[in-house]
Amino acid sequence: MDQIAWDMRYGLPNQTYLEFVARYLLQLEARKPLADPFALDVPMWIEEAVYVEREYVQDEIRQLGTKIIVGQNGSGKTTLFKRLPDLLESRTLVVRLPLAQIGASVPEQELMEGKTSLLSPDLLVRYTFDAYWEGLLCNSFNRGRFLPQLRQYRQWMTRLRWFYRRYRPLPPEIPEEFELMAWLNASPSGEPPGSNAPEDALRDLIHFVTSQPEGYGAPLYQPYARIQILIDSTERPSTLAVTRLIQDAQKLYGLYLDRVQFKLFVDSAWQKQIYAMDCVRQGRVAVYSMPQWHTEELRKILHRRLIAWGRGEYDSEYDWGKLIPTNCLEPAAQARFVETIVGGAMKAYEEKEDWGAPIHVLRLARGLVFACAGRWKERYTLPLSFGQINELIDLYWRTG
Amino acid sequence: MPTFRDREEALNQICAPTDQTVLLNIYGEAGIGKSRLLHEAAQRLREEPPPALVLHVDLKPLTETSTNRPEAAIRALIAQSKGQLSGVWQNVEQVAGQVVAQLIELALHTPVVLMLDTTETLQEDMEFWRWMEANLVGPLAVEGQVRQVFAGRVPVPWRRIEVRRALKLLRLEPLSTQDAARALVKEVLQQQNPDLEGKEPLEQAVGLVMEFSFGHPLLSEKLAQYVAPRWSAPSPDKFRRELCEQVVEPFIEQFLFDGIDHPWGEILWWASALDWFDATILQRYLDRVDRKLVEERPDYFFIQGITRLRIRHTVVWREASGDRLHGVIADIVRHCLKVLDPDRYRSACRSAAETFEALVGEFPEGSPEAEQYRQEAETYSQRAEQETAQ
Repeated sequence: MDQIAWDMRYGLPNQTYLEFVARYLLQLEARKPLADPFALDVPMWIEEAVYVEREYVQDEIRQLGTKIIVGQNGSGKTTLFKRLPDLLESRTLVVRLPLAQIGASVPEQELMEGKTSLLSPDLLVRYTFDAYWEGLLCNSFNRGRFLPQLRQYRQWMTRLRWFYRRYRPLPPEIPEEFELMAWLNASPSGEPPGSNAPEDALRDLIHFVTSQPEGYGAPLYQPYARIQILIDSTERPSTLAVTRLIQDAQKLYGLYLDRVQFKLFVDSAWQKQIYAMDCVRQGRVAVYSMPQWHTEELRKILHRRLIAWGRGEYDSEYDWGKLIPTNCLEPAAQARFVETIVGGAMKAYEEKEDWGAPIHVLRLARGLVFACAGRWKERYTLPLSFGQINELIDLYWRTG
Repeated sequence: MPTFRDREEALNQICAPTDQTVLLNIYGEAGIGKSRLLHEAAQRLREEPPPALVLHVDLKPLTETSTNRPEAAIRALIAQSKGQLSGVWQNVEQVAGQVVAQLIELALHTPVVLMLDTTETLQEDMEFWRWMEANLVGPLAVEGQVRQVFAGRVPVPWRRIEVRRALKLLRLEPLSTQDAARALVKEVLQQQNPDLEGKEPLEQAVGLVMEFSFGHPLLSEKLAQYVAPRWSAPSPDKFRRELCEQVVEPFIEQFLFDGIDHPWGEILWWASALDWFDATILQRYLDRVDRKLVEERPDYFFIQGITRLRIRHTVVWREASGDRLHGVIADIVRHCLKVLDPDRYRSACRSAAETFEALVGEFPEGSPEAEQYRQEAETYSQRAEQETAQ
């Protein structure tokens, strides 16, 4: 592979590139830490800022019911999995079951081979209560908003204590709530015991989470009306494991209907097997294939990265190619810089690449900005022309 | 204060929106009347039945707090509520949750409106706005019971999807030069100089003020206050120049260009001759009009400077074609330049024409960019010729 093409695809940014980006694209003050806005992975604190919403995708996925979301690597599947809790209606309790983490609590091999069900009642009740504890009580805002009213209802308090003592959550303590913790840790007296069977405990928990306490006031104050269970199976379990996951999800959804829904995120490599399943063919489980990215969306990906890493400003359709000085990039190339990068990334769909266009748009952006910073000036003298930009993109694809 | 006028539509958007808007962001250049609008709306909401609970907070004092601005904002809201809101202070997020719950409860019985003014003072504090979205604005927008109104020179940089879905932007334009602005000027002229009653002199005075103010309420008021005691049908040209020197230019420097570092103040005077610009165009244009402004200043200086003017000083506004002076500021500054120094303005137009003409040569013949720049060059040439003819 040509060295320049290799650098564009797989190379790491160097100091020259980072300083160029900081100075012209991010417009950072001197001595601020340097960062690569076009890196594939982003730190958690910036995830929300760089997220490009695709409303038509979100609207599909937010719909009620059990659904399998299928997408290739780089299609935005995992990002959507992480973001989905923020997109769902505010009274939805989101329970996330990423396979890789679950693997720590059950033998991973059995899980991946489908011998153990990820959606067993015992696992589900623990994760659901954890999510409820964290979302409602560990979260300061929700605690402030709902706890003053809820704690007035003894029934709610006693049921909370029953679940707390049986399925001790993480973290188990809320230091700011001394009274609540004292109540939860006190020995119960005269309270009816709950059922020990995991299936019954799951049913009781679903009811506890999604129903108002008896005699409760205005419906506005109810924290949660439904539970949404998200499973990210991008770790490539076996066919049997995926099949079992889907069948278990469908069974549980049938039991609890409007209170519990499932969304399963799966790599597109499984598409054929998924469509061959009976419950999918019969329409009882919906399948949604992540659509291709549009040019406007790819443009937004790049733009949001710059805003997130640099000086935040009001969002607008701005061609940031003009931020690159004319001694590095000719005006004619400046005017079309972003369009050209985006057009280059769309070739991912023509080339039937394994990766989605978002990955290529970030790679190309980095590579071309690197070229403007003089990385390959022996071969591509500055200022770069429009023709040279296109040449670099061809090189990227030709030797990919 | 002069009579509040020509803002019925904006007032209705705040007080009685027909489209169920729960989050309204009003924006417009300095002195256009945003704070006055909020003040009038708050008064109407409190007086007309059913009387609303209006929590009107000015965010400017928060700029004096470098840490924990969210806490300062929540405390300001609680203080405004006169005892109807309270919080048990464990941490600010918890109090925010309590405040949201209380506001929603109050909204069941009485209209509740939150108004936050001068948002541009915290425009660069992204952490503050992210916190507000997560802990106040977002949850209230989702519940939809409490109306929220934000006002600032530029829109708040909203990010969360539930906020953007509920959001309605309202740009506050200058007063209509056909009626409202004229009525304002007449009112001030007559208040300041009751002798100024004869129709013709009054209309002349109004016309003169309108020539320089372009409907900007604050500038209209200041010009009228200056003109009223001095009006005795003076020599128009001499008085026009005097108005620019004594009122318009100081207004621009002290109010519109307030806090802008050297040499950007001077650059903006030159930039007023341009309909739009970017860093490249501005640098090349300034090189023609006054080389001292670009000597030893790299591209970086102009790129950063424009961004600072847009975000921190909010005197530059971005549109589809590029950047320009915000709203009616461009018209005010340009006209003042034409009156004070017509030669300089002519020179600016010619230099602008040359700048765009030179850019045409850098694009392929027939390309959309080349055509656009050619038209721009033609426009500026014609302006220079018109000024010469006058």
